[in-house]
Amino acid sequence: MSRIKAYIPFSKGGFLTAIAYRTHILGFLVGELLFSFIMYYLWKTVFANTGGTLLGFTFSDMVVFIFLSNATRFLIHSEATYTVAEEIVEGSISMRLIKPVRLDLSLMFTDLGGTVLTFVLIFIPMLIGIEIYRYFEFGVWMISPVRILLFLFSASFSFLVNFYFDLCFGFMAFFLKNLWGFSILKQSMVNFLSGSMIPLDFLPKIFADPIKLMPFASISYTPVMIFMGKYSGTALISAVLLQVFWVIMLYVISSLIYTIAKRYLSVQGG
Amino acid sequence: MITVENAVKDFRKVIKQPGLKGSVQALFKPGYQVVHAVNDISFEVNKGEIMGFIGPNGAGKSTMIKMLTGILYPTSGNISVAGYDPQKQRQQYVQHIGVVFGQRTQLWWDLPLSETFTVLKEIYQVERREFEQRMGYLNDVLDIAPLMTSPVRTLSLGQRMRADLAAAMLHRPKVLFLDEPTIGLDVVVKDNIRKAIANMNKVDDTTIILTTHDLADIELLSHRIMMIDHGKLVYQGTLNDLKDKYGKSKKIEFVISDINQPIQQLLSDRFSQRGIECSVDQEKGTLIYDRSIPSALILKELLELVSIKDISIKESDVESIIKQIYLAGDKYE
Ligand SMILES: Nc1ncnc2c1ncn2[C@@H]1O[C@H](COP(=O)(O)OP(=O)(O)O)[C@@H](O)[C@H]1O
Ligand SMILES: [Mg+2]
Repeated sequence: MSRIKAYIPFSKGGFLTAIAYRTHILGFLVGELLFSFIMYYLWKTVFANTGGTLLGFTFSDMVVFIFLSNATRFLIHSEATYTVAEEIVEGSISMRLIKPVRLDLSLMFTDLGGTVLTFVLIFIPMLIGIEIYRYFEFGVWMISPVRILLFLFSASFSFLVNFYFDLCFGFMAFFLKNLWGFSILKQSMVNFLSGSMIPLDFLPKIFADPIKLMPFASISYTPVMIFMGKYSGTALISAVLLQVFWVIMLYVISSLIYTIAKRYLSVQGG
Repeated sequence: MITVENAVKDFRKVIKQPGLKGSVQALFKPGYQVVHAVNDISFEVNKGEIMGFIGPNGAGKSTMIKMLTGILYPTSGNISVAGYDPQKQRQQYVQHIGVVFGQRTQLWWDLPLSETFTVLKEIYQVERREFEQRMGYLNDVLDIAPLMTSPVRTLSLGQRMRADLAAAMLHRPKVLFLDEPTIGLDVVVKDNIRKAIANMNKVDDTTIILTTHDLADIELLSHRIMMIDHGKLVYQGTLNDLKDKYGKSKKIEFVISDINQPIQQLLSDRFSQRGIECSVDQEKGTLIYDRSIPSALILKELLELVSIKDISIKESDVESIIKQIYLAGDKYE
């Protein structure tokens, strides 16, 4: 870790790749926005029939939730599974392994390069959009720098949880030749269980409580709830501590998987 | 510098029966076949030595290099390079080695070449003064300065190989691994690359391991060769030893000035009982004889016998020796 400087080039690489694929990102963004608007109209109908609030969520809460969850998902997105799988198939993983860097950190800093771009291109505009929406909804600016900072603090743990979770899957590519089905399964699991589709609190308590303990909630639900002011005081602290716990757990698990997996690596070609 | 003891690398290859039935079968119960890519190889390499691996395609050369560079784990056996265990201490170890895979590049494809060197400077933590000095030297041997501003994807194969070699040498590695460094290059470029490799070996006393199936690489560079075939070491030693051991014959080729004589007959009568092979095809003739017979003697007799326009004497070339060894190996399979 003392040699962070050695990893900066990876971020630069990730950033440049992300720029090269910017039309890709924008296309993706349009799709996601469309999805957010579908969710918006869906919930609008739901709320129209409930008279104001649903399980402690007002409709404007819901709007913030939908758009912020999506923006967060973008922000903490990791390419680790995809990159590892691709590099193994292609054999270019060799070129990564002959460098005096850690595999996990080199991948993480590549991701971070892309994150810089999504932060500027997607997250900031989304945040501004959300604040403007709230201004028109309530007639006053609701911007809270403290909440935003707490959100970013929690979101960095989200990034780490998501990254190491992704990495665990990526290392499966050392054993399996094809990860495709596997990664679809992973993505739908994350999307649902992380509470970025439906607020976890809307689920029956018997499901919601265990799901909240799982690493998925630490991925996007926690920072979003913090931003919305749903978590404060001890609830906030324990939610963040849970995130930290999962960062450590998943880090340890991914290291264990790697220790075993690296013996199985087989690289084709010269 | 390098010690390898009984290195073995097995790969599992999925085997699929042809047709739909095979595909379905492979889905539920895939069949495997074990390939011994490297099969019990041991050797040592000293500091400053250039060691060449030679062998046909699929012999196991690249697999050996990947184990030596810490990328692949040996199925069994021990490897130690520069005092490191390449697998267990990968991250510290690779700081001291340079690697070029002829069929890959470590250069940044879309960026100007200079970017790659800036990045490598950071990754290997090369100090600024050292970096500048090193770039000066690498430019002297590999002439990379004119390429610096070009995006890597616009470089020719030869230019790219020069740049890749420079990239592998930036951090002054103790050991340099080159997997087919001259593949696909034209003769002139090959020659430049070889000269650069020899120079780097001399200047920094860099230990160099290279693989090739181009014999000229070996003849011009290697102090010692290891011939591998089907994952096994079939010969280890210097090129001269190889010639002594296997290249038992010499060859005289000559051009006859008067083809109306019954030359084949004349030659056979004179030489055949002594185990010297004679053949004549139009005006061209050859004599193949054991290297223990002095060439001068044979030449003298030959010149007395027939009138000759032109003549040359050849050691049996490495290529044919190697062919001979591989053929012998295949017989014992
Ligand atoms: N990842 C792999 N999976 C299965 N078989 C492999 C793999 N890599 C190499 N092999 C096999 O191992 C043998 C040696 O390959 P390689 O070391 O690439 O040979 P060379 O470099 O001498 O041409 C070949 O039979 C090849 O098919
Ligand atoms: Mg090869």
